[in-house]
Amino acid sequence: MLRAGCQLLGQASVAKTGSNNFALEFVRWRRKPRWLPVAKSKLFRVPERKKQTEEERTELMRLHNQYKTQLRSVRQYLREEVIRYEETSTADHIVLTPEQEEAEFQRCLDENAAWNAAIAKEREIRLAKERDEKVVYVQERLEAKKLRDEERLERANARVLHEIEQSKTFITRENLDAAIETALANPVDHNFAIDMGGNLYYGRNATQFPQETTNEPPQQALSN
Amino acid sequence: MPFMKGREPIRRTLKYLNAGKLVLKDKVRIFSVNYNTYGEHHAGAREFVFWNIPQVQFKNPQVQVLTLKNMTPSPFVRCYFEDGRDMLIDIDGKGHDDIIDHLVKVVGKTREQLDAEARLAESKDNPANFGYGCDRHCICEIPGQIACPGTVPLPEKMRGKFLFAPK
Repeated sequence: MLRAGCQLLGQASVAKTGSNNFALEFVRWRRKPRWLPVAKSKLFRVPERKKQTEEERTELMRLHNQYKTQLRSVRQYLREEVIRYEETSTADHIVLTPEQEEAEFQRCLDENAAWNAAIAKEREIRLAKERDEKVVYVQERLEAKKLRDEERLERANARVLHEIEQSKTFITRENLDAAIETALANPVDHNFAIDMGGNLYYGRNATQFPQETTNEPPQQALSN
Repeated sequence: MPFMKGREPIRRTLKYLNAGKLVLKDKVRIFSVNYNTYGEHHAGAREFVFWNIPQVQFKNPQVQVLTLKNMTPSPFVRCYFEDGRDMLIDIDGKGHDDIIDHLVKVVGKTREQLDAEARLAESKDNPANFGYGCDRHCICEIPGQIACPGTVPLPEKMRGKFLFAPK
């Protein structure tokens, strides 16, 4: 960009090869340096505004609007992304202040108290019902026991009366001799066979039995 | 415990345990359930202990979960908080679904809070993430993953040179 010398300013901007000029530089862009003032001849020149047709103006406006809209939406998206990232990278937004936490806890306590009260009411009803059922049950059992005891007493009484009745025929020390006499006088012979028709067959006379046993060996007697 | 043995082994599957709805608040330190093994009005509490206690303990590893049997006339849940207070929740005659719903409302974290915490945990602590600002720069740093092709050539079955080479 730098010029080799002022002499180049007046020359054409074409590359010069084979020149005898020393320190020649290839100049592609020529411009007046920034530090030089406006030329005297151009000092009071007012550039003419370009005329735009109506079509061109509307078209440019459309493009402009489109560009602005797109840029705005991108900017908004980036802003939201930053917010989203901040939300997920710190715990600030889910951590409650102590007051909020306390209020939340109180709300939970109240809710739980309501729940407990409802259950307590239900339980009261259930317990009352169970109590009534228990009373009825105990009453039934008591009555059943009473009945059972009465029956038992009755049975015992009957038994006692029966025993008393029986005791009239008991053999006691006083009537022992009379009983022995009676037994001897009326021997009972159980030594008989019986058939399916219920007929009894006496094989021998029981009164002869003791005499036979004395004559025979005990084994034979047992085998009979 | 062997796999799929015992009473209702579904309770020990990860899917079931992860499906637990009750994530207790951070303030809760002890979660105790009192119930009896008999009695009609303890049925819901028994069901709760049977079905939901594994989930509660799984979802709240930092909380002590207690069950106390046959020490009370009517069943209840008691939560002890870190500031020394406690909350007594009567569960007499309630079904285990009612109980868990109420517990979520009273001592559980809200849905929004859980979502926010999940996002927070995922965006920062997900060990599967890699790249800028993560634990590792590339997935190739994990043993067993394929090395970067710039360092070690890819397996031949992944390279077009060999895939499309004429037989």
